[in-house]
Amino acid sequence: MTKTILIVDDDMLITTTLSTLIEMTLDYNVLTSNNPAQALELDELKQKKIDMIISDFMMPEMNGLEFLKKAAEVHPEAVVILLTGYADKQNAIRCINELGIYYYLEKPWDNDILLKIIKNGLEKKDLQNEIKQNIIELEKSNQEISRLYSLLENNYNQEVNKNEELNQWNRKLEYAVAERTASLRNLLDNAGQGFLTFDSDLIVHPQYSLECINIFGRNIQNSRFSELIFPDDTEQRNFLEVMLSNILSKKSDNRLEIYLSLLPSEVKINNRFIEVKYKLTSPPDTMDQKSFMVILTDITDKRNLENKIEEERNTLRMVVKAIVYYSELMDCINDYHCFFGEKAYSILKSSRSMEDMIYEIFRHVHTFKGSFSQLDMTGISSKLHELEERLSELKARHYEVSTDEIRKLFEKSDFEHWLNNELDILKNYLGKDFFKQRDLLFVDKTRLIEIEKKIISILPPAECRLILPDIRQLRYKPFRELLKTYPDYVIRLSEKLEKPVHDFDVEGGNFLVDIDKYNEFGKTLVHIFRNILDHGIENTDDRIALGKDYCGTIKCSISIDNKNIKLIISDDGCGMDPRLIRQKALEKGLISQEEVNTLTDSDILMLIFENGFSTKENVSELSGRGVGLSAVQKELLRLGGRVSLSTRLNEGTEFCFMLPYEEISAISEISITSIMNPIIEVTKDFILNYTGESITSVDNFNIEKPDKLLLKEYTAFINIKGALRGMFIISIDEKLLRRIIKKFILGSLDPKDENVYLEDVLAECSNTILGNSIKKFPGLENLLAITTPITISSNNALVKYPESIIWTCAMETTKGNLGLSFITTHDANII
Amino acid sequence: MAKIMIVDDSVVMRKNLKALLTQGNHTVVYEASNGFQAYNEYADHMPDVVTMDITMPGINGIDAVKKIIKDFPSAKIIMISALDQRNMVFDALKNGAKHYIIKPVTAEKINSVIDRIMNNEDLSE
Repeated sequence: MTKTILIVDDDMLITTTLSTLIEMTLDYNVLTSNNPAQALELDELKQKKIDMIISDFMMPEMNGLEFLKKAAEVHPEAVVILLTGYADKQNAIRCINELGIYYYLEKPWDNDILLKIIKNGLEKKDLQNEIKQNIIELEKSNQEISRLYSLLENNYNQEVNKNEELNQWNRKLEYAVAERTASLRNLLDNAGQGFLTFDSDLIVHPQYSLECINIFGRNIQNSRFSELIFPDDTEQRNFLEVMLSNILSKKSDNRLEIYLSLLPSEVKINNRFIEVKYKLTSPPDTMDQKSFMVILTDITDKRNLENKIEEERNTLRMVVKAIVYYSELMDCINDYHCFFGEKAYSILKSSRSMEDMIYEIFRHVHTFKGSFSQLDMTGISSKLHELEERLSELKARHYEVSTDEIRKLFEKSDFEHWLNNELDILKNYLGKDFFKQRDLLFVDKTRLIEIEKKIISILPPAECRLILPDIRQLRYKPFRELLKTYPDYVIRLSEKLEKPVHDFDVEGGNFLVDIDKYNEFGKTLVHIFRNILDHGIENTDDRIALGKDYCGTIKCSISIDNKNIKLIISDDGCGMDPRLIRQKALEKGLISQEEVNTLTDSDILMLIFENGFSTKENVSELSGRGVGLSAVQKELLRLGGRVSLSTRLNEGTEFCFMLPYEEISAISEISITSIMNPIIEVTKDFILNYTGESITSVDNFNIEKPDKLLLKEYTAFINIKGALRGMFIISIDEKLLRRIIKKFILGSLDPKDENVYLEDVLAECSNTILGNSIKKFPGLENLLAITTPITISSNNALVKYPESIIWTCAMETTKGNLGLSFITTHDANII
Repeated sequence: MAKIMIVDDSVVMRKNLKALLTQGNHTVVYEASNGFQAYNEYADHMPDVVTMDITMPGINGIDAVKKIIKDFPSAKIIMISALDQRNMVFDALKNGAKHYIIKPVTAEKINSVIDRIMNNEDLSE
């Protein structure tokens, strides 16, 4: 039977998009309602025909908790998902505890995740019934298994005890393991992760890793875990304790997953961001007693960088929305000024009831919040959200609220400042003229291009494809614009030459392209039209003698053919004679006698695009210098296009140009050369400076893409994080490294000590080389961070990185070789 | 002539910096290999100038600056980094560092910066 889902949200946009999404992908029936009170009256709900309810939390008429409580009275079996507009875990907890909801999700959600949750929720409901029946049988067989297991274990222990030889060997092994463990522990301490465990009393066990001391700044033995995590925030601490004891006390609960997901996954301790991961374990000897292992990772650097990138991303989204929805933005700004400048106060002066007044103001604030958040102006919408919260508190106790209290609330809110903050960011990106004219969008083209570049470098590819068309269509133009001057030009020229031609129009070509890219090509087409008139179209007398229309015909059409732009320009003139061209090419030395006989006619025709070719005896004003068509060819090559020719004597010639077509949403990726070339250049200077050696490259600094990487004797690795993720590797021959050391290390150095410094010097070199290169990475220089280098002695090691691409460049000097590599994941936006 | 504390996780860099500074007639009073050590030793040595690497494992150079400046607001710290990033420089100066040197470090670079700092010239550009 098809399942039915009810969606309740005051925002029509959300109910519509959600229902479409669910109906399209999951094939469930969907009912929607924008008003919780009305939703409660639905027959389907009363008749318990609804399997799942998805509800918003913040709704003006009735909040989600209230609504779901009432819905549960009517139909308690429905699976419930709650959408909260912000990270409000307290509300979610209330819902979980009071209503037993299945899941809560924060807006904005990820569609795939939501769909998965919906599916799981409904499947889980079906399964639960089945499971109940199976559980009794399962418990029986479980007991049987444990009995068998303990029997086996006993047997095994007896075997081992009998075997003395094995025992000795075991001891040796243990010793080896102990040694290894010590070095592993060392490694873990350096890896910067803290490990600790505790059970139901929440007191940290004495065994914890050293990094914990760094993180908490003190010894943590016998401390309560909750006090370590939230030293100052009592409310959060109590909440954490409730959650933990819930989890640790319950034997099995299908809400365990939800409780686990509510534990803080990231906290701030001593001003550092600490990631917290939990592992629930039950020690084998105490079947009922569960304990927690907690893994703490300091992610401050990562988080700071991410925050910065996220900030940049949000700003970009806002900028794009401001451009695309310019008039909506202007209206919204205007309404905002109007409401908070005047209208809100006149509401307060009206004779309506306090409840009505607050509701009216609340409604406006809610709308402004929605409008600004649709424009991705997150700063002001979060301020308005706070205001909305305060208003909803006032609404709850409207009977004792005075207008003065509301006025005070308004005085405390700096509405002007909230908006100006956002507008200043926009002006910064778009120029101060951006807001000058209400109905006219005014942005400088170079700013648009900069914004576009930034979008490509820091937004994920999927999002790029969505928003690039919006911003590009401001700048992109129909391809046909390139040819718009030619019909007139051709007619004027034909009059001058007294070779009349029919008027013609350019057919097709309305699709949008980055016109700047093709401008030069468009200009060179003048040579094609001149050649047609000069060489192609015959004199009127000749045309009449040949029985042709005395007026020549020129056609020009544009279409898209298999990801190419196809431009055809044709005439009905005299055509080209391959024999004549063959002869001319030989005379001009463009081909050899041998080639005259071997080249095909179509090869020969292409020679007219060669520099220096012209069949005309006299150089005329129009053509004959043999430069024109070669200019067309040069532009074509630059654009990655090609031309073909077909011609018939006395019937005419057709030029067919093919140019690569890029959809308006296409992303031109970061080219690997724009990353590698700066590194190569810096390395060359560096090596020259420290060894006096010039770097050469047998394959001309070509960047290879091998499956695996063969390392030289010493190798340094540095991770790159931020807008570009990857690893930089420099691998070098020992002989060359020793040359560097001689100059790199200042002061006296006993040759005996040189070995000690090999790895350390390489680490310093790689850090300097990469550090100095980053500022030359296009548009990324301030969005990257690098980690401390790791150096290893790597003689002939071969490394492979699954799911990754290796880019590498091999270089040589007379004192030894080196290789530079860059490793990225497949989904990185690099070509 | 100044009393200087070097903070760098790399043995080579410590050795090199010491050579450069000695060449400029300065005295290296302490070499720390991480930010904690630098902070803990500061009071004992009270250096005139600290040279601080930015990328170090554990607490990085900028956090070490924050810690030192909090307790010793008049500390004069020079950051040393291979990264020429505007925001990184800004961050360091905002947190109380006096100057920022991009690697590779040369004798002229570091000694002229120390001279300027000793003459109480702040980095204002």
